[in-house]
Amino acid sequence: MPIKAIPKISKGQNGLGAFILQCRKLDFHYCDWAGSSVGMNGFIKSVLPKFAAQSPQVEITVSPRPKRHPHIIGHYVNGKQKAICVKNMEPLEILKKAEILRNASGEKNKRVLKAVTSRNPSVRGIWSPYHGKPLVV
Amino acid sequence: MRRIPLLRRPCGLSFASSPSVVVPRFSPQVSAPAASATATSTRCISSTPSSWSRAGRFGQPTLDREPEPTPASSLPPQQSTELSETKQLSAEESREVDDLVQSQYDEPTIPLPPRTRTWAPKQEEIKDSSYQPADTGEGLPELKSTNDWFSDDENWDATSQFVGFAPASDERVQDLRILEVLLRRAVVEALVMNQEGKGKSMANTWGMGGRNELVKALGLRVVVKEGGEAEVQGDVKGVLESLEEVDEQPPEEDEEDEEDKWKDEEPADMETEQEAIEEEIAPFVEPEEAAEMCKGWDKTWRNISLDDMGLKFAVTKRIYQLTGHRIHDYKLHSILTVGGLLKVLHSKPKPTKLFEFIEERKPELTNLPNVKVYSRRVTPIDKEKEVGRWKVIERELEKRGLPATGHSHLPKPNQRAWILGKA
Repeated sequence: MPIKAIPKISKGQNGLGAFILQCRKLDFHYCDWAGSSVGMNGFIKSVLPKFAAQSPQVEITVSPRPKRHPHIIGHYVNGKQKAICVKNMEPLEILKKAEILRNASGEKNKRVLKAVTSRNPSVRGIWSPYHGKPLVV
Repeated sequence: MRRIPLLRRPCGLSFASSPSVVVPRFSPQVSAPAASATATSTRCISSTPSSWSRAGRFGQPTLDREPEPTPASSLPPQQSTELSETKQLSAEESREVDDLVQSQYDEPTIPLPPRTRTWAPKQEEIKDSSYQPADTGEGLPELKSTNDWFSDDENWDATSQFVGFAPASDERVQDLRILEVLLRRAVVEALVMNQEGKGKSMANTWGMGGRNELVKALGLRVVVKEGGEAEVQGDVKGVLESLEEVDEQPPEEDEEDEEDKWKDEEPADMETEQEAIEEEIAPFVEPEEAAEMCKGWDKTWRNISLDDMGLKFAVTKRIYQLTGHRIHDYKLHSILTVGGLLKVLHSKPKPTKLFEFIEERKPELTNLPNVKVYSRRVTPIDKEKEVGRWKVIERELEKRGLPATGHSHLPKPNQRAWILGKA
């Protein structure tokens, strides 16, 4: 009986390809009557089908919210929510806001002052050839 | 420049600023000097009339004593003639208004409750020995109170009900085959009117007619010439007569009938009335029959031109009367032939809700597995139900004697009553 090798189920790519989108769900709210929802209604009619097809990993719900301005609410893996009011906006402007929410991490917005950020910064700092004893050429 | 003096002053203004006397509404016997004293005292405080009287409303003094007129001799001659003209006009006007109001009081157009009150005889006065007074109210006839007389629909006869020119929106003809038949009828009738030189009558209301009138109109032959002009052949006079017949008003009820209103009406009568109303509304043709009719016609009748604005308005007005479909003005401009009008009639109305639009015309959105579209607002209860937590919450609320939904357990807010001064 020949010996068979164990079949390889997963393919290691050194961490690549394991990305999980942090946005879990997007809620689109509109009003049938109000004028501030005209752009949102146009967005849902014409732009949303393509946007939803491009983001299959995000759950998308569309529901009316009468007598309120249109909103997009993003739900994230870390349990947080982010909402953007899109009153009186054009469909393409709303698309940009939807992309912002889809690509967001769910963390609070922070001001980035340094060029390099690390979760595990070195105690000794980043090595530089100009530190310490200068080289003698 | 006589323009400004010719303008009459409004009744209310003259009333407010004139030295006429204001009398309280329910004390017409007040003597004039006492009333004048009251009036002057209130006039100092408020600029508006302190009490309401019908005569005062229409610019007439309420007491026999008229206000002292300005002597005409003290005014310039031109102004005095204007004043006399104005006075004459206002007197005529007020007389007309008074006649109108009086006629309304004489012949009330609304059904008033009966004024006579009848009393049942006492037990001692009844001579019939077999009479036994009832111990309980069971089985006794009930008479309605007159407190809600005007809000009861039964007290308003058919003449008081609003009758529209066209069927109501929920009674519109929806079947496409019947619509085509009725369009043919409207076109033929408008062509008959045009052909017989009844241009002025085209703006009048045409009789609805019945099944016979429909058959008569559809029996005419339509010959379409080149360029879209059409001619109608056949019993043109008969159709014309039926159009010019005005529907008679229903006969007025006698006093005896009004008294009978107190008695309970039989339900059978109501049913027959309803049937009669339905018969009036019906388009007098069945869909299958209409389909056969449409097959029998030559398609060229759809090429009839509607360039003539009078004809186009007459046809669309008749269509509105027969079917309840009103052609909007912005669409009228683009309708050039009968075929175009038929296309507009056959077109579906735009969905009013975004959800309906998506359901009907955007299957690519609803078919996506990651998309869910709701027809109504997603409430917090819906969210709890989605995760299966609502039944637990409901059970726990019931256990504690708390309401699960609504605010009916709370007292009514009385802030509004405070603002209005009612509490």
